[in-house]
Parts: sequence; C-alpha cells; structure tokens
Amino acid sequence: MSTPRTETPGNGSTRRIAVDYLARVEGEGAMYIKILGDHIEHLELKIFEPPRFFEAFLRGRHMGEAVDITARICGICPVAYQMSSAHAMEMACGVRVNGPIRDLRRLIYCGEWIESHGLHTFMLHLPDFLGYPSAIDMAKDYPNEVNMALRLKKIGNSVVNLIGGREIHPINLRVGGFYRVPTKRELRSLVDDLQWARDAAVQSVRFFQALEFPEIELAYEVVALRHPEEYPFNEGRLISNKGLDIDIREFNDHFVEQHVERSNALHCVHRRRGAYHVGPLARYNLNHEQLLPTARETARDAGLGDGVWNPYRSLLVRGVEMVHACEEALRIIGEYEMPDAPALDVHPQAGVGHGCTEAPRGILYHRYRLDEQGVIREAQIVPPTSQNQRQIEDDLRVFVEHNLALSDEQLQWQCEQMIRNYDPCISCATHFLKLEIERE
Amino acid sequence: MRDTFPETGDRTGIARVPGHMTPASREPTRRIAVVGVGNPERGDDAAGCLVVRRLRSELPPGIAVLQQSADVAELIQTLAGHHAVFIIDAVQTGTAQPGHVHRIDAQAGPLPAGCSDVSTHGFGVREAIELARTLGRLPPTVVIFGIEVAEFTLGRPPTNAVAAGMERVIDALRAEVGTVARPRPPCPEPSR
Repeated sequence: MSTPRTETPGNGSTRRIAVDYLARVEGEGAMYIKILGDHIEHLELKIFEPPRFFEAFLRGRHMGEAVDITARICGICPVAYQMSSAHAMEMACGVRVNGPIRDLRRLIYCGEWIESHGLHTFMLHLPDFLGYPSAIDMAKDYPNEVNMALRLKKIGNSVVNLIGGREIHPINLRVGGFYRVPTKRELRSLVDDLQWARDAAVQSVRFFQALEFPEIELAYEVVALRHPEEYPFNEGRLISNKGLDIDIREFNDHFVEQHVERSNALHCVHRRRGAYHVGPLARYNLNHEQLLPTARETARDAGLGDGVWNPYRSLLVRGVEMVHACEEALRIIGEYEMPDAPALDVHPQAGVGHGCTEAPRGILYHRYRLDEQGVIREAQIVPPTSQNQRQIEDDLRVFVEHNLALSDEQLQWQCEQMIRNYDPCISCATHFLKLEIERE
Repeated sequence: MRDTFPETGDRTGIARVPGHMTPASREPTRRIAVVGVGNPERGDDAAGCLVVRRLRSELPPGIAVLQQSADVAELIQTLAGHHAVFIIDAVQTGTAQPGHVHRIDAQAGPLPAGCSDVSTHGFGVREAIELARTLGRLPPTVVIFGIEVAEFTLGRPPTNAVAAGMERVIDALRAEVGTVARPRPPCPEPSR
C-alpha cells in the first residue's frame, strides 16, 4: 500500500487523506472520496494521464500497420491489441483464418494470459491479501511463492517469444497470420515448462483458496465473449448475464463511450444499463463449463461453483485461467501441424471491420473503416479498463458505504485492493493513482 | 547470445536463426551481462537500448549484450544468471540536469526510490533488483548507469543532453566491463 499523507485541519472536523502514488496498478490517475458523516458525498476515479491519440495515429496508415502500432499501446497485453486489430482487418477484407494459424493465435494468447495473470496474482494482488505493502516485502516470508510466480511469468514470456519473436510488443504477427511459423520441434521445446506451469498454477489456486476474502457479493452485469466450443480468447458472440447476445459488429449499438470531465479516458457503458464488468469474473461466470478438464476440476476444488460474484475472488479465477491457458497451450502444441504458408493473403477492400478478443483483463474491441487501398479512415479502440472504470467506481461506492467504520488507513488499503481486483491498466485506457479520502 | 530485441522491426531475425528462441538456448551462459532497458521508440527512454546497440560490436565476445524491457521475470533471470550485470536505464530523479549520469552500485545497499524508471505495473529495474536481493539472487556485481532524462515523445530521438550522457556511459562501460572481464593475475608464488 502506498504511504498515506494525513492532514488534519485545526478544528479537527475534516479529515483528508492523500496518497500520492498508488502502487501495483499501471497508469496515472487519482481516486477521490469525500465522506460527509455516514454517507459518500462524492467519489470519482480521475485519470489524468494525457490522452494518447492512438486512434488518430492510425488514420491514414495502411491496414497492415495497425497490428504493430496498436501493440505499442500496452506492454502487458500487446497480443490482445494485435489480435483484435488483425481480426478487424480480416473481417473488413472478407478473410477468415482457420486451422493451424488460428491455433497459433490462441497459443500466443495463452502465453499472454500466463504472464499477465502470473504477474498480477502473485506480485500485485497477493500482497493485499497477505498484508504486505509490496511483493518485495512479501518475498522475505514467501520466497517459494515469489520464485514460482517469476517462473510462471517467464514461461508465459517464452510462449509469446517463440510465436511472436519477442516477449514485449511481438513483431511476428500480421494481418492474415504470421511472418514465420514455428516448427513442431520448436513448439515441443515448450512442453516441459508448460506442464510445470500447469501444475504450479493448480498449486497456486490451492494456495489462494486458503486466503481470507472480504465478504461482498455484487450484482454485476458481466460481459464476455462466448464461443460454442471454446473458453473464449479470440472470437465469439458478446453475451451477458442480463440478456445481451450480440454479434461483435453490433458493439456500438449497445455500448457507448462517454467523456467524463475528470478523466482523460472514456468511460464505456451499456447504453441502457450503464456500468458493466469485463475480465476473468465475466469470462468464468459466462463460460466456466468450457474450461478444460484440469482447470474445471481446479475451479470445482476451489469451490468456485457456477458463479463468482465476489470481486476479490477474481484472484482464484485468474489462477484457474492460468491452469486453462497452460492446458490449452499443451493441447495446441500436441495437435500442431505446420501450415503450408505462415499467413493467408489478405487483399485490401473498402469496408468496416470489427475485432473483439479477450485480453487478460477483459474484452478489447476494435473497429476500423478502410478505403479500397486498405488505408485506415476511422479507428476506434475500446480497452477493457475503459469498460471497467464505471464499475470500479460503483464497487468502491458500495464498499465504502458498508465500511465507514474502518479507519482511513484501513479504508484506503481495502479501496486499493478493490481497484486491483480489476488488474486495471490505466495507460491502456488512455497513468499513477492518487487516492484522496476526505471526511467531514 | 540471444537478443530479446534483434533490432526494432527486424522480422528477418525470426526466420534467420531458427531455434534461436528455444528455452534451452535462452539460459544465460555468460558471466557478464550489459543490459539496456527502455523503449527504443520513446525519446530519451531509448538511451539504454541505444547504448547497448553501440557497444554490441565492440565488447569482447562472451559478454552478453542485451536489450530488455523492464520485465521483472526477464531481469531477475539475467541477474541470477551472471556474476556481473551492468544496467543502463533512463531515470527521472528530478534532482539533476537531463543527461546527468547516476552511477549506482546495487550491492552498496537498497536502491533509492526514483533511481529507476518506473515501468509497467510499477515494476521496473529497481523493483527487480530489490526482489532479486530479497530472494538471494543478486550477483556480486550490479552497477546501474541511470541517465537523467526529460522527454518521452513517441517516435522522437533522444535529446542532445541525453545523447551526450549516453557517450559518457559508453566510455565508463568500456573501462568498467574491461576491468571485470579481465582475468585476475595469477596469485604470486608464496614466498619461501
């Protein structure tokens, strides 16, 4: 937890707590909470990271460049950006990628989930549950767990590296497929590590299971992709627990991005129902029966059941998703046959394409309008943290209202923990979280 | 030695050396590593990467010259796999002019906050080094050359002040890496 700065004015009637830097989230923003007596007067998540203008950079660029340009939006989930943009371009050009190239796309996504979830669960979120200010402090007492997390992350990196050419901002992905595809032998080199990672992920869930989770259940509208045969990565329909069931082309008919004065990121909300929740909880609640056997068994043993509505238990779901990602990666490697060509030919044509894939922290929607030369004329990117932002504020409001008796320090700690339930990537959304609590 | 970033945008590297990315070959086998950290496409943040690109051709073979992002797992593996690691990174302490070079001996004690560029999810070089220290995985020699930076504009080269700082780091590394790499003189015969 960040060190709070407490200011008490002379009359003692108002307390203000300011945290200059909230650790263990990515990006720059601030949280402001004003409490009057026993109710919340004002609560807002402010994002003051400068707008990044990626959508504007993309206009006038060739469709083939979007995969590399959008990868630069995020160092944690570049594959998600690459996948959503590639799928959108392919849709616009009337091409559908199947077979081994599709499998390799799922495989590299497995790598990204393993590295992202490995880092978040152990290094960013676990210290909250164990009462340490950081993973470095936690490592003194839990060296085995931290070493395990580092190895898990490294294995995720290896998968992304092998398929993508490097672990951060991969360079081997393109519209239509890849520049080079791995040999069976190269993929088999990952097997031992992935088997270790799968077993380590199962152990992680058992370890997480014994933690104490704050008791809270929230009635979210959860939104995720749904595929008839697979736990979702790259494609599917967009569904929710409140009746949403749409083709990804209809995203803008149902969701809208809103500018809010306090934030440089857009809030994306459901047009009629407002805040919604994307990410591991949403995926699990809507697709858990499609988890692979070891992941399903791990979830059952952890008592996750048919639905997880306690956002703190997202820690467990991320662990289960790591198991699934390792299992899926091993399945793909076991069945892999090298394709004849590393990519399909994609000929530019005028049109609109949509891409929606499951980044580790939730759905990432892209929409592009291309001209007949394949030049991008419009670009829209809706990252998961923009979609979760309103929901994070709603969660905090509920949490603070029910926990006003907590000390400022405790309240701040648990608010930060609540924010980290979402593994927010604020710089994706447009970075620093500054937390202020004011009581009168 | 594998290079995490062969060259920005050099996709031929992927096809040219099949198997170069297999896990077995990724294990560090060299005892000295020079690691440039940063984003080569964000103005002054490119300083670490540009320094190692310059040094790659002139340092003796056997020294691992790496460009890395500030990925904690990768950095800790590099630290744990070598006896001496030199890290070049962009830093923003706000206490020095852009281009100023901070030389920090990580074995001398915990790194001060702000001595390293904070990167994704708050995990940067400083955090990786402190985590390695806690886990007993810090090598005997770890030196950070932190170049004070100011501008991070996408697609821009480093500013003149930072480019001048990079030259000072290159000179310092030539001298320091040579000292660490040079075999120790044989022990004198014990006097009778």
